[in-house]
Amino acid sequence: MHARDGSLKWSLVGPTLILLIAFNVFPLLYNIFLSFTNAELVGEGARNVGGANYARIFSDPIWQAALRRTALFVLCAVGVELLLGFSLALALKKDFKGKHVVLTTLLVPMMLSPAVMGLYWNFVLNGNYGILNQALSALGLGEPQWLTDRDLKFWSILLVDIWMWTPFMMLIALAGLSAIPNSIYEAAEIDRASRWQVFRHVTLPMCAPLLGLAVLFRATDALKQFDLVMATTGPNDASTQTLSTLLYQSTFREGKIGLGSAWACTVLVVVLALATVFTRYVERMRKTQEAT
Amino acid sequence: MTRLELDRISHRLGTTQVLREVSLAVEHGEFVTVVGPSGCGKSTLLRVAAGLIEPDAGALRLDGVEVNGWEPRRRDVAMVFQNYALYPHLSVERNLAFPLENARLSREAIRERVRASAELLGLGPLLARKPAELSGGQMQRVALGRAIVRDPRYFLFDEPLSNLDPRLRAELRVEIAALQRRLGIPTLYVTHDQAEALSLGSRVCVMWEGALEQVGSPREVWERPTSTRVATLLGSPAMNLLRLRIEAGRAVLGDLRLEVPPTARGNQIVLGIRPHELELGGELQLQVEWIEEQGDRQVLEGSVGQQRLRVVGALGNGLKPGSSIGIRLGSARRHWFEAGSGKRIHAP
Repeated sequence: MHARDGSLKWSLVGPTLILLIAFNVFPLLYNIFLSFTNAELVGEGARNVGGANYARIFSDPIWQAALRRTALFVLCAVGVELLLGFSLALALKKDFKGKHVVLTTLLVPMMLSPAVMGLYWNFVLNGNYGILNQALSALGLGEPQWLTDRDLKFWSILLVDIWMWTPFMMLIALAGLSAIPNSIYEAAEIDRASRWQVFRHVTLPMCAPLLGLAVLFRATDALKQFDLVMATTGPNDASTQTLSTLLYQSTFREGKIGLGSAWACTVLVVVLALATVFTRYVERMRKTQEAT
Repeated sequence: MTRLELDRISHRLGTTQVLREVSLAVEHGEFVTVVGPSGCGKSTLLRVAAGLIEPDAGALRLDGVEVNGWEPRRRDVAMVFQNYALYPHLSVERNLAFPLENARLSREAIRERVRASAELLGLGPLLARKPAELSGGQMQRVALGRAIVRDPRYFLFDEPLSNLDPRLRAELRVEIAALQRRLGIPTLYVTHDQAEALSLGSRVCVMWEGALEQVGSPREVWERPTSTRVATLLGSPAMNLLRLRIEAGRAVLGDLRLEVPPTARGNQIVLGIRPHELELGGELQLQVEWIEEQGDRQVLEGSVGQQRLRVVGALGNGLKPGSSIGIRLGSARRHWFEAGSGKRIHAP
């Protein structure tokens, strides 16, 4: 009986396990192995180079710049999205006529593919034929090169990301706001709290757990920023390179597989660290929710 | 000294007229309860009194001063909610201190007043806890503490005990009554529990579809309900209402011919009799259909002829659904109501 139970168990779980190993575990291990070699896409066989790839990553200014840029991107994107999204949610909390239409419209950017988003914003921000510059020049305000100016293009991509993901923050904040029972607001009003005090002592702290969740979620996502950069400036632009695009550039364009693998491993560690914080946070939230 | 006066308050929510010209004054030190079925507008009335809802029409006065349009903060009112409405992220101590923090008191004064009201309600050991770590009864005590900590001009209670189990309810009922008597602050207390309304209120308002059906002392509304609505709302099990034919100036109930008030009109009349006032053993045969055991007594439900009737009494064993038992009106108080309007027929 036991033996048959066992074989049934394995026959059910087995296929999934094999696929997992083939597509997740093996690539990961192989990637770690490659990161210690000088493997290249074309050319002779790989040779063990020890920690040389890692040493290079942590000393090469290009890699460091990409790391710093990504950190700045995450901070700015998530920060602004949080502020804007929460403000929008506060504005949309009350019922009004046509609320559903407004909400749906606001959610459109989030639902479109990032590639479409990048192309669309290309039409808007393009220095020569972009709608924005046509409007600006008509008003005599000059024509900033949004996507090619070295000092501007990073911020342009940031703008697109904010435009895309603010609705997500708004949606989560809205869920948090609507979970606060009305009687708490009434109690605060009775307790003579001013509008600011209600916001500071009721709305904000009661929304905070859900907002924290959204921030973590967005941060891990923004850390992997790839598609928007690819669609607007491409992977080999020194002033917009993020962790992921630089990884792509060196691995697939320059064919430096060993170096790219080492880079991928470091990114993985950072994302894993954030993901751990993320799951711990969710777990803690679930526990406090159960207590209430 | 505070006197709260509601003067012909009307309010509409959507297409429903929730309040119809409600007038009521709560004198200083008075405990007024409002009882009514759910949806009768009693909670809206309370929110109007609090300033959370601005009524469509009518005036609200505090010591003769009209306070329409005043925000709750200016009215200096305290309110206790059915779901407690504690701030879940704050400790009990901070919950109690919250109304004071908004009043710009010194830190010392706040601590002193929080300590005093915590002591009054036995909350001392709970001060460091969060609401999620409290039982329902403890939460409602904290909500009470938060209401009294500020020494408000008037109290409003919105079904504060209905989320608690019966034992706690009885316990807190006594506490609330004692607290209010001690503080002497005028109180408006809304409930759907008729026992609570009768036991707490020095005056009871019975509300029906947005209007006050009857206002009076607990004895008054119990002994002389002005309508069949009030009569059925107060008392459990509810008062029996028998629709009787009048023949030759007498109401017909089975073989009985009952004398009716001389002011009665028409050929029909409603007789109201409380189930526990009916006596066992007598000329009316009750066809028993259902017996509800209540330990020390039983509630019998059945019919006398065409009339549905309930009787409460200590019957002992032996009685089964399907059997019949003799009952009589005996000395039971007879309430007469008009068959059409349901209004009480007052004997001259």
